[in-house]
Amino acid sequence: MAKKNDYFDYRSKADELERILLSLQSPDIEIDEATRLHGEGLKLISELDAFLNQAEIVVKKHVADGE
Amino acid sequence: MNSELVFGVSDFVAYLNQTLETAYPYVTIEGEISNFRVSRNRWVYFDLKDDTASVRFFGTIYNLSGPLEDGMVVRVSGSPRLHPLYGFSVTIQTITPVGEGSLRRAAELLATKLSAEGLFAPERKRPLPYPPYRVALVTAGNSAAYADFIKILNARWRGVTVEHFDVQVQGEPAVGQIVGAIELANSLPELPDVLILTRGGGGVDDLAAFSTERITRAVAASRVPTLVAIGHEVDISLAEMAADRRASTPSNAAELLTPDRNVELRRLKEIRMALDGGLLGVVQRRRERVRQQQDELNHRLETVFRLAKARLQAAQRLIEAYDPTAALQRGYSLVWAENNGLVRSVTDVQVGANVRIQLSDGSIEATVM
Repeated sequence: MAKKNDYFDYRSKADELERILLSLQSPDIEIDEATRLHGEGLKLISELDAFLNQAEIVVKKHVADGE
Repeated sequence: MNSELVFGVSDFVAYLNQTLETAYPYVTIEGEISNFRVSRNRWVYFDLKDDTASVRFFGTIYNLSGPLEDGMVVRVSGSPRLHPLYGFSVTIQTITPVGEGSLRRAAELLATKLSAEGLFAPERKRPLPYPPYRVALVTAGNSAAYADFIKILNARWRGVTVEHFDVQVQGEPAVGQIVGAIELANSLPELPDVLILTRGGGGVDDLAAFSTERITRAVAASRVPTLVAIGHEVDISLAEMAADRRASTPSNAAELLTPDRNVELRRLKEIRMALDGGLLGVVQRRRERVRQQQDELNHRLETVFRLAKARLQAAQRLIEAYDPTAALQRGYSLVWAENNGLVRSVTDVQVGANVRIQLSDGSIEATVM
């Protein structure tokens, strides 16, 4: 598999964002924790938004010789 | 002088083979198969015939593009030989079904065989990563299929590395190049997340490569999950059946592989609003809780004060009950001796002693008689 560290892991970050949203809706969460999660969520949104707007497709060419 | 050339039998066979090698080292013959048989699971024999003639062919099962049977029309390339014992035959090098009926029948036979081996089994299908980071794209570089795939990919998603393997997708070299590309993609130091094999639509002959045994097996054997998209309307190729997932066209392949970035951007906006709303909700819930706690605290404090006051009132009533001046008010009096001791008994004083009698409104000095 690809070394995911070399790539922007969109799906993991998007999943993390959904988890943060879910945690913020918990009735037991404290304000300091909610504030921290809110900040993390905003940071993730900024990263994901930048990826969606700025990333490009890279094409590498290979030639298959066949037999 | 008799100049007639007389051969021994072996010499004649050798001479004829030499002539054949020189004149017809490689021939291609098209005809209908009859008497097809496989010996010891290795040797293949059949005749090719038309209305008036029949030619014998010999080869190994490794020369076959797939299963064959009598009645199929094929094009066979090989070398004509005269065997010293078994007579004339053509040694097969390649064999290709010809015509829609034969191609379809060959595909049916091969499908039955590969299906029995489990190559198309649903339990073999692997999920494709969504979205992928690196994709291996096996298709012709100058094709509409390549352009469509890249165009849709670019419109929907970015940040993908496309390892493009430029191959012919029809004609003689197609099978070898496609199999080579699949193997090469599977041997990259960093494996792609998904392998896409695609081409645009075409006639039955154009798409024949995608139903060959070699490509079908290469797709099935790929360590990298596969998506095969052959643009056609009627039959599904065997390569598609062996793939982890199939798409109808190259564009459809790009759509299946990736989310729509515009949808994702809208979702991000929604999450942003939900995050702010979530934090606001937490603050409001905490504020309400503090208000409840404050009410509870006030209530408890009031209770403490009320109890303390009740205890104080009880003590006060008790103290009042023991107050000696209350008895004086009712007409009782206290008699104090000269030494200020309370006279509790007649033996506490002597005759002639001075005493002080305390009443509610004053005192009287007296002498004991």
